[in-house]
Amino acid sequence: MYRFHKLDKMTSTRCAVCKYFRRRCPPDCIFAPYFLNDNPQRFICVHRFYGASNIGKMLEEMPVQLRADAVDSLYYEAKCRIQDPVYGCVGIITSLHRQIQIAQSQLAKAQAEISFLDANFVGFEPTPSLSESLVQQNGFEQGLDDPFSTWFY
Amino acid sequence: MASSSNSPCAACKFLRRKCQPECVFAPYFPPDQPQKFANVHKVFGASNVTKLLNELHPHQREDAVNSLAYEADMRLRDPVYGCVGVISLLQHQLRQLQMDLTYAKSELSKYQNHNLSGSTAQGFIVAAAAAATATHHQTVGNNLISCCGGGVSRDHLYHHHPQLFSSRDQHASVIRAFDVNNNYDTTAGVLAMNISAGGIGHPQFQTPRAGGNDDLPTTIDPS
Repeated sequence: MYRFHKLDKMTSTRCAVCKYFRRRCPPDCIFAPYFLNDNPQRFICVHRFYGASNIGKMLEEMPVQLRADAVDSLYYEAKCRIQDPVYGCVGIITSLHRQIQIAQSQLAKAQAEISFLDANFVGFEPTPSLSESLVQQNGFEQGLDDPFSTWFY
Repeated sequence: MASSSNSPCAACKFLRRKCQPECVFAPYFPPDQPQKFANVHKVFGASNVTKLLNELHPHQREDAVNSLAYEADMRLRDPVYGCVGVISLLQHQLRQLQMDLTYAKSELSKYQNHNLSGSTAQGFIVAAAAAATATHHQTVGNNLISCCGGGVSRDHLYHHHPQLFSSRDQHASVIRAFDVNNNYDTTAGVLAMNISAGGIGHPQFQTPRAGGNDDLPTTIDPS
């Protein structure tokens, strides 16, 4: 009876990773804070693409206070890859790039119209410095490159 | 694309093994790009990549490898956020642009609603639109971010726009938006766009998106 109680205690305190690998979960288990045993799917998802050993190495190489975010982002990317096995979250990035290009194009066109109307529409007072304010706002920061134009080898 | 029969592919060279004729990595990791495989292996591991490729059709594998290479590169540059950091930055950028666009459209509507004779107002609006179209490309070149090949590194952004990187909440919101709705939640309408493989931003892709259907679903059911 004591033996079963001891096993129950060990089982109930194991993290999802140690439970998956059917091993004892040490007190200093690097995975335990981020893969709770009430959510086994989270680890299964991340393990599928990265592997437990790679995840462990990544976590060891970063400060403790950043590990939760790192695991969350790995989980997010893994879920994206499950939903889109070919492109993963890179599909989202490409889609956003495209959206940005379209919005920029529309904005530039609107700016050009406003500039024309400012210059030619006598008798109507637009918002002061509208053209200037938009141009200033649109001194765009250089953005991240589209993944497939620069990062691809 | 395939390595020659004499030289091993970058993967087999890295793993120090004989490159078999049917090597699954050989078409996608040529020997002259060793860093590509090194990065992918470091983040994902060769065996995980093999499993992933074996689950895909052969015509999808090149795109899959390239996207994995990109993700690995981003993860090595930003070990905490990886591609999620990129996504949150782009979302921020897009939101700013949409706000600017809304503001510009509201200003334009003031001209349209101004109390002039109908023909005068109409004439101005038509002329403005024509002028805008004529100068559109020049304005685009002068004012727009170069999304393709801007050549600015992430380090530049770190240095010049620290506020974009200081917000863990921003990155966390990307992840929460995904989890809460169980689907992608970038901005409204993003996923309704058609992405053509041969269009802007996909010069490296050989094939259309999976299934040959360029229409992205508005929501994605993970089940």
